[in-house]
Amino acid sequence: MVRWRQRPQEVPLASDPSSSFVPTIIGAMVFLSTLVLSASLAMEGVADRWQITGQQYGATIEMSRDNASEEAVAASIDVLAQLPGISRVHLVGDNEILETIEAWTGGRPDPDLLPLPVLIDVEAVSPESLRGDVIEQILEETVGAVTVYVEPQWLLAVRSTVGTVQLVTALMLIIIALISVVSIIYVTRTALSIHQDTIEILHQVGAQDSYIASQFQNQSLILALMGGIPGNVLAIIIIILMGELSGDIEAPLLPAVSFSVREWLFLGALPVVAALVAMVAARVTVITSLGRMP
Amino acid sequence: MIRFENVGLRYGSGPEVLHDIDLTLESGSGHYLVGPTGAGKTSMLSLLYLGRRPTRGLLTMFGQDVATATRSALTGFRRRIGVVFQDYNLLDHLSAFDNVALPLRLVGTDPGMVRDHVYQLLEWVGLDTMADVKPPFMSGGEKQRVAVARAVIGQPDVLLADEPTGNLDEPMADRLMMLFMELNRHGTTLVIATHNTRLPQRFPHPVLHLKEGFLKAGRPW
Ligand SMILES: Nc1ncnc2c1ncn2[C@@H]1O[C@H](COP(=O)(O)OP(=O)(O)OP(=O)(O)O)[C@@H](O)[C@H]1O
Ligand SMILES: [Mg+2]
Repeated sequence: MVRWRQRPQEVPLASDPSSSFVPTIIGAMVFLSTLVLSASLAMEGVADRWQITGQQYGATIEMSRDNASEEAVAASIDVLAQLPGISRVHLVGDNEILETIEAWTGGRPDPDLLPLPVLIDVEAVSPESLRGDVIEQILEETVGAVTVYVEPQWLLAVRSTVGTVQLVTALMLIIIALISVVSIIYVTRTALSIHQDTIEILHQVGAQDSYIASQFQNQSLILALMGGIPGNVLAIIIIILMGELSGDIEAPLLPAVSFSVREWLFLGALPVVAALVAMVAARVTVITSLGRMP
Repeated sequence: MIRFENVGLRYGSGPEVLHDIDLTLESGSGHYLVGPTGAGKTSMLSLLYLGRRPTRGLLTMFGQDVATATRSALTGFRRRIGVVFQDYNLLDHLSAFDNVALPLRLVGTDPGMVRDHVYQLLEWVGLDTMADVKPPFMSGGEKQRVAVARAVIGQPDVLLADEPTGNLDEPMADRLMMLFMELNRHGTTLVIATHNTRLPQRFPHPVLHLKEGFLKAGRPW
């Protein structure tokens, strides 16, 4: 009697009620995390385009050439460099100023006709170190009246929004991961008690804990993929549709979201990550539970 | 060699069901374990198949105190022990074939060899035509024979059988006993718990007599 015999699942997990619960919950969690992550990536993309994602905050100090002798400028730079929280002080050269003006007006102005100001760029790691009024007051003593242009408030607001969005994204992803892990632990514990008799028999005929755990972990992996892949695909379809819609509206402040290949791969990897997490959670649960048995 | 020294067993916080068991079973020996119902035969076998650990005293198997053996060491020991349970303990979702194949598959035996061995044994116990049937669709005697096949397929060092012929007619009972005797001749340590007084007469081996949890000298009959 030569017949191919497929090796059966020794712990009959496939017929458990969890075989529909796990795909549902992991599907929902992957769906959510794909949307959350894509929103965050989109936000970063917008910020990148405005070049406002750097960690540095800047201000520009303008003083009139009349009361800015070379010594006075050097002294100001020294004073500024010693202020707390200032990371960089840079005297903007005349050529740089002219190039900037050229970029705006299209022609190079005659420096003799247009009196160029003296400009000093200051960078700091936090916006608190860049109080315009404080800097004005300090420089009053060295060079007399100056004007301080601190980065506009709206830019700071966008900056901190990007930061907040990233923080919220991270928090949401952590919560989603926690819910998934807790669900898997719960499902696995339930399955362990449903199949307690089977597990006892398997132990008796010589199965190791790791062998029994491998049955649970494989099942968890398969079920998580069964839910995670559709959840991910659905979310990506929604993202693409939303991209099309916002493209139609052409909202000028929100440049159309376009993800790089890397970012798409990042999003597409979510069900795989979720499945691996589900697999590890199931394995660890089984090994620890069995290890507590007499 | 298996050694009981002053062993006692209780289930949870219940009364002690085995008391002061002192016993040495030499490797390759064969014994019957007899006694009235409720005397503690199954309990004693459960100590031997490492399903439970003694609540007091010392039990040494394969040269190690089972109370201090690690989980993985116990797994290794269980692979050297074949058990025919009184209530069979078959896996209901697996076919007769897969139930019998279990001990071999767990140690990674080549699938072709598994198939040959399993069919050989199923044929010996008269179940070769029922390879694909699952236990819920079998008679008591059929299940018992699957349980016997599963217990012996790994050629265990120790074979424990709890009332292995209870559901069988005489010819089939003798056939299985011949299988056990054959293994015993090849060095397997054998302990058979039974109510059947005919077996020790037909296949003679020393008798261990349990009564109310105590090991008694001599035969009850
Ligand atoms: N799982 C258990 N929990 C609590 N008490 C148990 C358990 N199993 C057996 N007992 C008790 O232990 C004692 C011995 O039972 P055991 O099953 O070992 O007897 P036995 O000799 O195998 O009987 P039988 O010939 O009927 O199979 C009995 O008093 C029984 O009630
Ligand atoms: Mg019994």
